[in-house]
Amino acid sequence: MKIGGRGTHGALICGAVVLGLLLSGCTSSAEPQSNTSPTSINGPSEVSSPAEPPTSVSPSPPTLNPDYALTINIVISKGKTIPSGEKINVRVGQEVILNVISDTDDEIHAHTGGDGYELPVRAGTPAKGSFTLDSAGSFEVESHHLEKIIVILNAR
Amino acid sequence: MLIPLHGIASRRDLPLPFSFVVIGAVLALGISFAILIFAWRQPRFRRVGGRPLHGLTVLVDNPVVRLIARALVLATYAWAALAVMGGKDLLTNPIFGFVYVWMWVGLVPISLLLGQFWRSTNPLRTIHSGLSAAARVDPQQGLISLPTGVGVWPAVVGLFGFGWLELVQPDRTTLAVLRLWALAWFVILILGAIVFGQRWIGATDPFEVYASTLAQMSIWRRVGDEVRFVNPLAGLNGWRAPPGATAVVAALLGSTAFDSFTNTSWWIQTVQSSSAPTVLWGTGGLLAMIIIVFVSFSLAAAWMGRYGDQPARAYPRLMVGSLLPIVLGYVVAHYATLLIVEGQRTAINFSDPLGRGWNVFGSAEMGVNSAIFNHPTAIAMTQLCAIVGGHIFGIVCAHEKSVALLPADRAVWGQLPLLLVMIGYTCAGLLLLFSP
Repeated sequence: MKIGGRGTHGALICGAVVLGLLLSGCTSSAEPQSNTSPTSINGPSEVSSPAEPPTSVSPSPPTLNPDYALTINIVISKGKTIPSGEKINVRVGQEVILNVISDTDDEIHAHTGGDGYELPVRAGTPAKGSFTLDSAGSFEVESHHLEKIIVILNAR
Repeated sequence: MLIPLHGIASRRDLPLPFSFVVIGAVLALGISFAILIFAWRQPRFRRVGGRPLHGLTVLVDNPVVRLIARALVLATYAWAALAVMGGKDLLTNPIFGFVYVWMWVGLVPISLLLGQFWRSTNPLRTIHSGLSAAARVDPQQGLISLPTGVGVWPAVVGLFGFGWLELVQPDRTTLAVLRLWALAWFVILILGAIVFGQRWIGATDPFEVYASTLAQMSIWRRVGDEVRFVNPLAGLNGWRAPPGATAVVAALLGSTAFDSFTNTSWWIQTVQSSSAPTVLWGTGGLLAMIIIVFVSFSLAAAWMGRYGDQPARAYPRLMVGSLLPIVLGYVVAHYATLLIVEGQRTAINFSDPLGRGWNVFGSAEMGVNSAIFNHPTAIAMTQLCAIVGGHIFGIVCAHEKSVALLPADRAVWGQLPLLLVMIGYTCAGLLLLFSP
């Protein structure tokens, strides 16, 4: 069932990659499509994580391989966020990259177990930042101005 | 200073692995029916029994010992009052941890380990007794006497209020909000005690009712004039639940379940994409969860009226003790790591209630040891054991009560709906910990 759960995530991610590609080519006026899967891109992506190329071939699933960064594309528009409350698995120590585009100024706040991570976002300007989770647990990433939970990272 | 969206803890436990959910559910189901079919048919705990402890009774009844215990607890509260009234609006203010962790979660181990300690040292009672002594009136005697049927019904409102503050109230970790709630709690309880006598506190204070209810599972129990060392099963079986106890237990179980429920993706997505205010969703959800527990348990227990010699409406209160172990299991599974980690942070901050750099208790320089999070499997195992263990304890209690209340040949059929409802609570608790 655990595997089934991952399979579901995988399906979401496949849809998300497509939308993510579309969005990355669009301007900030891109509207989140509510009838589409959430826009999170997990694992290595040519589009959004040119940094951190894999150093070696690993048999483990790329999304949970700490050698790869986990990229999460976030769209904030008209008071809503995409994704919204989705749960994403991540490895302890794996880099988490946030690509954010928002129609208002905001701050993305990630709980990390310590002081937390803060990414300021200007309206219409793509923002990018990254952090790592150093210990296991379930951590929220939220939009500070909207007071909404974007994703929950389950770090193992 | 950043205020996290969800209370004081910046981290939750990882979801329970699904295999654990399945194992837990199978165990709960199998053991429940094994108990139903194979366990004793004659009541075993008609008497509380246990070993009388003369020395301990003399010690805890000693006026000096009582005075010292009450003074210590009152001083702790006065210190916390300093933080809530005069402290800074920062998350380093110890009051947040004091209320949401030390009080709400900490009262559980205190009540299990020390029995009715809280009822004996409740600072509200101490203050009210002091006021009564100053006014030379009997603290038990109010201006108006509280009707006997009141039981602990007012505490249901108090517990709902606390659950709402903890889980729904916007800005619950800001000082202004907490100050308002603390003042309201204090004024309502003390004024009520002046009007209705000290019984008001026992009927209304959510903390005392919570503590004294869970203390029914303690190994220490006062029987007559004597403190005894008892089998918790026998002790709990001997509990004569007051009117309103069913709703109190439903409020405890329902609010803990709702806490988990709000962490599911489904809930977050639904609430965040809705145009209705979050507060409305939260209030409705919390209320719904409590009502679901109350109604399902009451109906299942009332079924016993078909077989027993008492009216159907009498059974929920007779049987409600069997839900307490399930409440305990839920609380341990949901809040153990919170108590361990955030409890430490509160102890550290407690040295400096006003945010002036004090280190009164020498704890300010200490660090939080959060190594427990490095053992997610051990945490998951503890959660599983707490939920399943609480369930088994609860089923045994329900069985004992059923064979005591129903004719021997009907006891199995009479308790079946209750058994199914309890299995439902346990499976729901496991699923909520899996937190899809």
